[in-house]
Amino acid sequence: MSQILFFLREALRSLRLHAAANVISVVCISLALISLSFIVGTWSNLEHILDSLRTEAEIVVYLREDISHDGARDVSEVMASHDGVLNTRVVTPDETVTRIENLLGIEFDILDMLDGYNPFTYSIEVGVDPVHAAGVASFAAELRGVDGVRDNEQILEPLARITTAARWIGGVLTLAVGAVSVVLVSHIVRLGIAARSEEIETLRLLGASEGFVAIPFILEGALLGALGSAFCLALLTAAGPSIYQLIQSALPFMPLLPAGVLFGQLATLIVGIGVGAGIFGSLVSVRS
Amino acid sequence: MIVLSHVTKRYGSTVALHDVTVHIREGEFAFLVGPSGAGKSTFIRLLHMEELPTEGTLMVGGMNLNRLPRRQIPRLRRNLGVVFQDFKLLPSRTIYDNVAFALEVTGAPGAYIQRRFPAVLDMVGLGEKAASYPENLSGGEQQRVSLARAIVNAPKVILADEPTGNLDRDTSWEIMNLLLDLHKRGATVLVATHDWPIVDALNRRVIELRNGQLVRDDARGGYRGDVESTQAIGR
Repeated sequence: MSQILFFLREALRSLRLHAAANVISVVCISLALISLSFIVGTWSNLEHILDSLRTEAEIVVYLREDISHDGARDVSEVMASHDGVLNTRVVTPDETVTRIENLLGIEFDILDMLDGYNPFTYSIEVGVDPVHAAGVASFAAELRGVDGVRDNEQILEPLARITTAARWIGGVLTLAVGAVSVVLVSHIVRLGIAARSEEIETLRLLGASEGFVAIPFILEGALLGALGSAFCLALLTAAGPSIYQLIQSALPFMPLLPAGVLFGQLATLIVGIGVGAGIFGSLVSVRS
Repeated sequence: MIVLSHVTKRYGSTVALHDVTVHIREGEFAFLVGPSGAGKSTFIRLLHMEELPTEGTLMVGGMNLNRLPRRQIPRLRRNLGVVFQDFKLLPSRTIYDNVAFALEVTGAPGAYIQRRFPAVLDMVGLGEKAASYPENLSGGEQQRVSLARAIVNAPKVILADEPTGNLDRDTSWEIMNLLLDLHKRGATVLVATHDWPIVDALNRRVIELRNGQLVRDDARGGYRGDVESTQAIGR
């Protein structure tokens, strides 16, 4: 316990030695982490939207006019046995009319023009695993009695491309922010080592191990990273929720992540990258 | 306790020590004398592995320094008390911190450090100076702090490199009496010095170096070998 306190005291002492440079480093690390938060926040939400759409992935199989209820049930059973099909449901022509009436609302009178005639056919709603969606759609199109197939690939594909791009940008930015933090911290720790070289030499002559000499500097790096993270978290806590609420209000139909979940993920990421880069940066300096 | 067997140390083309063989037994008190540049400091530095020998075998406290892995060097140093010629005190640290460092590096518990520190500081007569900084102390006081730091771990071997250099006569004797006191308590003490009045007055074992070569090893003697000289080379 006394050694831990000793190491902490030494690390804090080192931080005080270059107070101005340390403050600048902490601010720079914070700013880098904030920009990272924006990108990762966007990326997380895109992933979330994509996941939401994927869980709703559905194929609708429209049957020919001459297919009866029994025929529709046969097609449904064939579909159900195919790989990647999660569930199937037969939709009758009457149910389709009811749905259209609900969709049209007060405009449903327009259906009176049909004079009791129902132009709709049986259809089958097929819940699918998104990975197999294309295969299921092709399979359905080849079945006897099938008139057409509609899936939501047109929406999912571009969204998946955007998410992949965001993931790449997020990954590159995470690396860049990590590298910036590592360079900043290693530079500061190197300054501390240079300023205390005589002291380090004396400690070695007194019998201090390499680890004993290095631990305070590694702690110093960790503290710099932690302070950078704390500053970033403070800014994010102060302004983040209001900004996020504005975004949520502007996009009411988008299934965005709940604020608590998003900021929880960001806090973990910020502290992890800040402290990790701090420790790694000081290790780089100590080893060199 | 300390064995040098045919030890040579070269710095490039300069020979600091040449084929030196010395054996200092446990509990001995010996002076290492010679003019400046004779190799005294190199001799001391080799013993705590601040330098490595070019040739020859070195043993300290049963450890063969030639075969000691790098990671074991701290363990060797913790078992030695070294008084440095330039004190090597940390100017920005209090006297307490300077002395406590020697205990901190061993992983000693805080309570032990708190208990041990006053006793050692009292021993060197600086009981009231714990909160002072080195720059506020006289040369003699700084040397006492250096000595306190060297002995705080109760080492069995004490190596002192010019511990009375630049000190006045009275202070030099105070420092020497402290070293004698530690010797009486059982420590093996090796003092590198060119303080001839003290060497002459104490009439102890004297190992003399000149130009890096061992020229005299008297069981008892004076600085210039004219006090009851007994050849001890090759013991």
